[in-house]
Amino acid sequence: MAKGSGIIERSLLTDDQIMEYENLVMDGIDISGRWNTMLKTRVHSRPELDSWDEIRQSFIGASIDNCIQCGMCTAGCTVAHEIPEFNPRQFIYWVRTGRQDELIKNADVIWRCVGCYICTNHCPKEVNTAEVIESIGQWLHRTVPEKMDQAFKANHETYRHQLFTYGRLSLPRLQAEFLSRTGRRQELFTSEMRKTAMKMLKDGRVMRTLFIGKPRRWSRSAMFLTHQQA
Amino acid sequence: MSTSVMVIGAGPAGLQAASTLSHLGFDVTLVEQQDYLGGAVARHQYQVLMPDFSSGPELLSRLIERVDNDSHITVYTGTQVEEVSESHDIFTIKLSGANQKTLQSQAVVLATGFDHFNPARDGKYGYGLFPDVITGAELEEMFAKGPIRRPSNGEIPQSVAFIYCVGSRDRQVGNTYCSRVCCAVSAKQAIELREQLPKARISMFYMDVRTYGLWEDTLYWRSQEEAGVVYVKGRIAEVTEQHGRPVLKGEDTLVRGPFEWPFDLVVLAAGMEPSGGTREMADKFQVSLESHGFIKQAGAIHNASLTDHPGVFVAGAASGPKAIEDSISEGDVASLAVFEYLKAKVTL
Repeated sequence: MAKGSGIIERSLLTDDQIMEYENLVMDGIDISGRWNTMLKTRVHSRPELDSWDEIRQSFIGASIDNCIQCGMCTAGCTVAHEIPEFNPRQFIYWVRTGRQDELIKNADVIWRCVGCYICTNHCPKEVNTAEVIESIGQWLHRTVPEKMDQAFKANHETYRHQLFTYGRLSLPRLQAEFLSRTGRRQELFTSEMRKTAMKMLKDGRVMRTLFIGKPRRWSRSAMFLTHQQA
Repeated sequence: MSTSVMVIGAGPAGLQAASTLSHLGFDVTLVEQQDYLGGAVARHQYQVLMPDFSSGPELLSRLIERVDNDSHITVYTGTQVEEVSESHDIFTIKLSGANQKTLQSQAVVLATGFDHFNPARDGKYGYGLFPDVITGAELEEMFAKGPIRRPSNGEIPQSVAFIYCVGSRDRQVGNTYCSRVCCAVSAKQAIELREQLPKARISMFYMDVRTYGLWEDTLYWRSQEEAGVVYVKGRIAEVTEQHGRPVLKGEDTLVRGPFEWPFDLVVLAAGMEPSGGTREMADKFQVSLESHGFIKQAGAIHNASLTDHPGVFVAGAASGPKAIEDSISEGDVASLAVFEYLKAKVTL
């Protein structure tokens, strides 16, 4: 039987609000079956603020305290107009009011940011919204890595790995690493890909993109970046 | 015979009016029902003033000194206006209390100020029931007396909530107006609190933040950017107590969700109401009140101090909620209006 099927206005509730057990004995009384359907309280009573502290102390999240919740970020957001759950204003608010439960529920949504920086450019309070959202995402990544969509996680890690290793991004290498991280390596060898590879080999782009080299003294910069991250 | 003007109420507006009227050449009688001068600033011992964080005691000593050292100003404290009669544009005023006299004045400035809304009238906040629920004025008194502690047990508060619009913008309590300064005063208090409580969680529960004009960035933004104060949009419907801490029940209207959050200390930003003295003097001097019970400004665009009774002028919060700086300016505005009014009648 579907969860909470005995509830009359079932459509008003989400699955995670309903507690239902196949077998339950309370105080020696067997209340197995539909009689033990219970709802969790909607009232929030325990603000958890360690995430706020972590984010406001991070380099990219420091401007979070400037926010006055005017909503300019979400109003202009490229993603919010496609995915209504993606709401930068709300993410910031949840952090500052200690709503880790809501953040974790949306752990996968927050990574939909495309990095267009419209939010940052429009913000009347000079919140670097795009990077604050990134900072919240990083906190979620550390806290509940399992909640992240696997493809997003692989994409994220590919970029990081490439950047820290080479100091530059190369599209073929990114694509190759991403596909292999997501177990889709065979897609590198489709006829379409082969044609593209031949073309790039002929006009010299392969050499240019695969052997772009590293910035001067990259290892020192990388060390700094890795240190910052830790 | 010199021309004599009576100023009633010795808060910032009345003190300023008395001093300016004297500079303009009038003989001034300053009547104050309390035993002290300074009005609300003195009553609640405001130490740090909104908006510029200047010193309250310094302001008072400057205003009071000017009045005290002026031979054309007679100050009657602990004195009430008992009876007023008027004939040929001259007021005959009978005083009672510490100075039982009958005086004549050609003009009167009412600077009778405001009272804070008493939150006990609105049961939902638990004021008077829970010791850790205090008013903003009581917080000012705490700042004056020493470090901030929870009234219930003397501990350092780890979390402080401010509830906005207590007794303002609420038909249930009969006050449909905005008290104008409480948003900015609360932001100022939060900034001050942060100095004492570097680790505490400070939350403001508001329906709008009305730090109008130049106070937007200097107080509202500053409280967030420098003091890490969090603004939660939503009204508090009930304050209860659990494990010895006030619990705020409300709805977070920005993200749609009910909450019940405990705090160590709750500060009610209680609004302003016309003071008892304002109502009484309006009655005795026969000036009209506007719909909220403040003294009606008869020609606010022409001059803020005009009432609908010639010869009676108003200054400060008696005509509506006002910041200290505006009250002081209105002391001057009223003096000028008195000057223009009497200039037409007598040769100075």
